[in-house]
Amino acid sequence: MPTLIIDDREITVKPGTTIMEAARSLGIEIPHFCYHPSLSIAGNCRMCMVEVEKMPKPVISCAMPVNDGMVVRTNSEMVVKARRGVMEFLLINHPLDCPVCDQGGECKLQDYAVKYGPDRSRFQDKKRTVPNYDLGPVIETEMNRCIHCTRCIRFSTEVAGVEEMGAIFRGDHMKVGPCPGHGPLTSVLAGNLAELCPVGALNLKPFHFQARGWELSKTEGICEHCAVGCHIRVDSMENRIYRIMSRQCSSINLDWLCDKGRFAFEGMTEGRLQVPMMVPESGGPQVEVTWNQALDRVAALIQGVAPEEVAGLAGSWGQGGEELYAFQDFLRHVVGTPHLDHRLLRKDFSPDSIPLLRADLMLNTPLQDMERADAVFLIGAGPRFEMPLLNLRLRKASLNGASVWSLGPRHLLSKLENLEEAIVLPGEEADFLRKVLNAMTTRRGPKAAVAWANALRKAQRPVFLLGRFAVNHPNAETLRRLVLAVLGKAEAVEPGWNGYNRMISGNGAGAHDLGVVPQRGPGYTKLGRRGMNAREIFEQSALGKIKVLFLMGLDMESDTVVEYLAAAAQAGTKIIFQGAFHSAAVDKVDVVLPGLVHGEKFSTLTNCEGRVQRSGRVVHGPIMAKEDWRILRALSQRFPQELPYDNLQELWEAMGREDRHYDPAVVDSGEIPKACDHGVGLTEGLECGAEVDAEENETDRLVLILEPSFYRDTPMSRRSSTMTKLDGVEVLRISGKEAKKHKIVAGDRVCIECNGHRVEVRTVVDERVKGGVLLGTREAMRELGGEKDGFLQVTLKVL
Amino acid sequence: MEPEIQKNLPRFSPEALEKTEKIFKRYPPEYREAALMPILHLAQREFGGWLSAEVIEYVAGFMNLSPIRVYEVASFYTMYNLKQVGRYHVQVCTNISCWLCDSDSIVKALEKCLKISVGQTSEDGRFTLAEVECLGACVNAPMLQINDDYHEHLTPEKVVGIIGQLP
Repeated sequence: MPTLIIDDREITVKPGTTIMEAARSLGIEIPHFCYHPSLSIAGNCRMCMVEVEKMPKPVISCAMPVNDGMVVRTNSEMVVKARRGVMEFLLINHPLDCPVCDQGGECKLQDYAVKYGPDRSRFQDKKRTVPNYDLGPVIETEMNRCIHCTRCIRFSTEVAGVEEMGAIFRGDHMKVGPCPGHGPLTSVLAGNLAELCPVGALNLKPFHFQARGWELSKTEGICEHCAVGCHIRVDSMENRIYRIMSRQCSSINLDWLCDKGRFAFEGMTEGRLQVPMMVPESGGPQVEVTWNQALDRVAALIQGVAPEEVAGLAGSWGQGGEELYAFQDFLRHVVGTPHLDHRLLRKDFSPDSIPLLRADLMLNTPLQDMERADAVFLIGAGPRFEMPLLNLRLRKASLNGASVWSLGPRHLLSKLENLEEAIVLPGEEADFLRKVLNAMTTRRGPKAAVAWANALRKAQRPVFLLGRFAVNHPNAETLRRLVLAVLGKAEAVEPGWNGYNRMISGNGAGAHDLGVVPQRGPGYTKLGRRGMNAREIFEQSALGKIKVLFLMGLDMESDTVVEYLAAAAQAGTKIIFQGAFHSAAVDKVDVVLPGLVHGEKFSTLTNCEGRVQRSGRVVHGPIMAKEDWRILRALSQRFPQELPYDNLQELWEAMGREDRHYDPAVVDSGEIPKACDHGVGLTEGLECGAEVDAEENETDRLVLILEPSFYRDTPMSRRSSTMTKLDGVEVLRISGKEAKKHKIVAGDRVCIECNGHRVEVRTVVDERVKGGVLLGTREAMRELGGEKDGFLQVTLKVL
Repeated sequence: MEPEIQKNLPRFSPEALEKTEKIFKRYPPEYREAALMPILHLAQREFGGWLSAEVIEYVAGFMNLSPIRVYEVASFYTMYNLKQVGRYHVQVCTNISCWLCDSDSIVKALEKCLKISVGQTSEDGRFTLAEVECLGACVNAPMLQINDDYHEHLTPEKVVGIIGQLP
């Protein structure tokens, strides 16, 4: 372990540490532009030069490994002189346009120019000019300001894996930019380029000329858009959020944030529910009412029927732990109904009889350990678009040599290296896994299955990820058990390394923990009686057996929800909607209670590892809207038994009593729950639930797989203008074989029909979609009415 | 999201494909991308003496690299032409030795004879005139290169003759 002296302070560091890192660990800031702790070393800005005793010239500290006995000075006369020289060269071609530059006030070049730069320029010639590029709706360019630090190039190449930025031409003609004929950036992490850029060359387009950095108040928060739970910094001014930046967290998001987390907030002010509304007793359209009138009406509706005839459904996205806990508490203890759920897209409810526990439902491998995996198996998972920041960890693993194996109906645009894909028909996944399990003992079977088995046998630290497609699969439980069995055989569900991971969406983890499921109470307590699950609640309300349906924060634009609600309304079921966003379906419900969104209220979010994090209030919502848990609290006053908490602290303590992860003391301590608590591999039998066989494709029916669009899968992101601009063209992917059969050329418009509904869409021939399968986005196929039990069977017609 | 562009890119002829096989053999298989420079050179010969954006995209796909990596290399070296060149690419050396032997007069004579200035292409698309750095024929300066052929010991009169003789 080398020991060195930096500015008269002694430090011992690991061999191979650079002077820069050693100085940073001492809290000494060495000026730098190109150095970034999460990127490779470039050493091209020359700003971080320091003086090392017995070395004749200053050295760049970011690339110089420490040696035992080094004596480093970071602020000597030689260093200051060197920095001044570097600054003078950097400023030769940099425009002096700080007053009109978005980076002004947050610019390293500006800061260092003040500190080390000369007060005037000796440069007499013309400055270099560089054209700007259109990089799409996220990044605004002003390339004259570029100082060639190459951070954007290194980020897009190394981290994002989308090689789109490069250093073109050479010498003094060198410029940073994309390839000619490029389109908008295709990375889902493009916003990071602006955050990385130490000068004002790459800026956030939506934030362009909106505000100055120093005017904004900065609040620390947690991102709600997926279950990774990235740490963010919310910059706001005068009750408006201006931008969201990433906040460093080495165990979750490193230094990055995806574009959805960064820009979806734009939708939070659009199409909001402003005041309570209800359909008058006499019928007709909804009218504005006071809170008391609305709550009285809700209480009357609920008290007018038997408790058993009331059911509740919550959305998993956008709900904090507070309202989820209050919601189940209200329904179970105030109303007295066991029927509540949040799993709206789920098709397989068979594990409810042997309720799954925390470890069954979430990641067991901590996010930061994912990058140590040596074999990654994706079961119906598309991590890049489900959890972009999780995908970065997997990408790191794959760059370190891990092999990646994917099972699903389509190929992945995952940016993972060494990717082997097993593309099977929907419904054949379980069969494939059974073959893998078999091949692990017999070493025989189909080639792909044997390859999986061999990779598993070799792997020390395998990771299995059950993705959204597998979780919402009709055979979900069978798939889950097979994964456990395979992992058990590979001895990878051990305390040292647990490779069992199930991905979860939104705050679904919080909803499970806090008991918004019919089979378990908060903290996974056993219940005397199991209520109806989401599917049953929908079906029974369509039959009129559930007479009052209480909806909290549901996505009222989701195809499945809209169709079921229409059927329920037909059957005379009264529907109460508590939520933040307006939609056509909200107009049809009986009572509307306007709630708040993330950022306007305190919310407790549980990420996919089961880590509970709290995020505060940044702005105020619509003046009449109320914090969701307070609505339920006020509503409970109209019942014999009230909810026993009057303020947030009491609510948090109540949550903590049910599940210790939610104990305010535990949350505040930032303790990371141990994720590897799955214990045994598999206790139950392998087979479970109804088997859905892959359809034999003799007729002209095709299986349509619906995937949510990454940028528009939540009510908020759908309303964000940047997300709308980023969303790709809505297309239907079809295999070459199928295209030939139907005489389709890429780009043709086709019409797909299903149960009397029809949709027209443009096709893309994609060789790696399985024959017999069509792949569409949920957004484009909304009119088809959504999936219910199995997969959608559609017919195809060329227009 | 990923772009859904399905372009009709140029393709290497079977003969060129054979040549690429030979080129790839020169490099260890784990450093396949090292063949990029000779392959770009081959592409430049195949597709009209210059590398269009489409050619770069094709070569990128062919080499399994991203287009920006190919463009970085193609733009770094001046002997890859990123703009369309005429049938005869006239490259006059104006580096020190040629310059001392009055390459300026050669350039002037060429400009007069071809009716274009340096960096331009004649209207009929026959000639592109370019100034280049040392081509390694200092011993016979001044010199110029037309496509693959060197012409040395030049005088303004000789240059006009050379141009006139071109088919």
